[in-house]
Amino acid sequence: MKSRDLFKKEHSDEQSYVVIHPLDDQPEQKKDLSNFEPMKMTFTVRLSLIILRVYLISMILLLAYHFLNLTGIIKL
Amino acid sequence: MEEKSNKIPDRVDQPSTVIRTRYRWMQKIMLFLVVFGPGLIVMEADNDAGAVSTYTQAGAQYGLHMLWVLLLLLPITYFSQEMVARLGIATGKGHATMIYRRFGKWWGRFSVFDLQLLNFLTLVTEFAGINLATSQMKLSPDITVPLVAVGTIIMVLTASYRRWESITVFLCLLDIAWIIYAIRLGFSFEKITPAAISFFPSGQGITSSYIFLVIAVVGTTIAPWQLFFQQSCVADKRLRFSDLGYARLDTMIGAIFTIIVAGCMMIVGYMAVHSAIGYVYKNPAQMATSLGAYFGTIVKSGLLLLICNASILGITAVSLSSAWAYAEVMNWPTGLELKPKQAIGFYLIYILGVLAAAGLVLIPKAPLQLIIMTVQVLAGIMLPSSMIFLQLLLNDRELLGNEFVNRPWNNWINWTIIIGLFALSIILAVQVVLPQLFSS
Repeated sequence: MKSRDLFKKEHSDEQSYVVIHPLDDQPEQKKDLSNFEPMKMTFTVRLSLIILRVYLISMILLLAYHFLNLTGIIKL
Repeated sequence: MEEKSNKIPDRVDQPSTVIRTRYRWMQKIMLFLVVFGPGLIVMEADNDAGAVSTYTQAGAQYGLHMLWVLLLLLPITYFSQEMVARLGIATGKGHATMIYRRFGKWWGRFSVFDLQLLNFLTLVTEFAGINLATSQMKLSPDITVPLVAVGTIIMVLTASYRRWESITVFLCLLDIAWIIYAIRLGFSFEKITPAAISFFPSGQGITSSYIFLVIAVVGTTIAPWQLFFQQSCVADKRLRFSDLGYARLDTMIGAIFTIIVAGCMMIVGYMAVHSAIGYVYKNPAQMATSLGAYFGTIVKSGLLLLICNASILGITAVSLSSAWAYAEVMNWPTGLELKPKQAIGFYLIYILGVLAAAGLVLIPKAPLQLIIMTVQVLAGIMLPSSMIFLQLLLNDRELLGNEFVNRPWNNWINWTIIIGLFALSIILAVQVVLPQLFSS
């Protein structure tokens, strides 16, 4: 039960509202991730990951160039 | 997704864990207060030693002309962090776990390795801040750096999330002193004229140093560790589905507070140049000493202590984001509520990171400049990747259901932010790696 459902609670002859710290509350049942496979490769997901790969490779090449430049092997 | 139970939690009947009130409005305030924390901490801890340096330098060089960047960053930081808070509440899992599960081991390992490396180097810069500030106080870094390391380790070893959160929120609120200092140094709203806050200083166009500082301010305000930190923090605090609204408010307040403090840091840098005749900015610790000569010891010591506070906040938050991420993907027990013997791996990652970074700073002639440059480049590589994973996860209807998935307007805003960050990260990385291209 969500803690907020408990807030409005009959308490003797008057109503009282209850506040519970999340760490003191009953843990909620979240989505069970153990059965989840990797995400489906939709067009958006595939395109995003391709762009990310291109970006990462470009950055690595840039860093490699910088390293070679620092060591004096190549000069711009 | 949500499974409702009719069973009343056992702990509810324990008076020590239940607060009762007769008023609905009081209940809402109290609920907000128990949820409050992760949003403020993740935002304010990003005003770390590196941020103090960047913001005060921006203020010293360009006065109030860069305040617009901070205003622009306010919604960006909020929307980025709101997504991780939502993901954390919906799944109860950390960001690293989600990338691992939904994008496979390769991307998972890449993200965690990159994060660990970047966080460690960031930690080194935090301890460098302690070194710099305490040296100006005539205290030996050989004593102060280990002392801060031990203090930040003890903060988490008490095995109480609430204790750690209370201490950290208190440290965040100490940053209100930046606002007091901005006023104390002579700043007033009368100084905010259209000419003073225009995009560029009068008579100057766009220069490479201006662009670099704009990018540095953006890079300082949004950091990859923040995404990992807040999601894990929200999961560790076990925030409930019904807490989402309060978590959003917490994040919003954190974003506004952080941007105000960052603005005050800029103003302090600006006032330092205008107050101290002939003053040339070098670093924040030297700025504090120079201001001390004009405004007294209290101003000097206070500013140096604020730099230490910024570093301490950065140390605990960055180390925790590393420990949470690594322990989660290794399936180790994680959480600040666990005793050290119950989560040895989690605490060990935190402790080793802190001790190694502190030790590195104490090595004479450590290549700190190289480390700072590497942090900038790695942050440039890491941030767009983390944001893309985040955006894709927030569109994962199978995982989140209709309740927590992004709305179309969320996606428009987020893709715009991601494209902007991509462009800025590339420019930053190119600027750092190939500075000759930007020489003007």
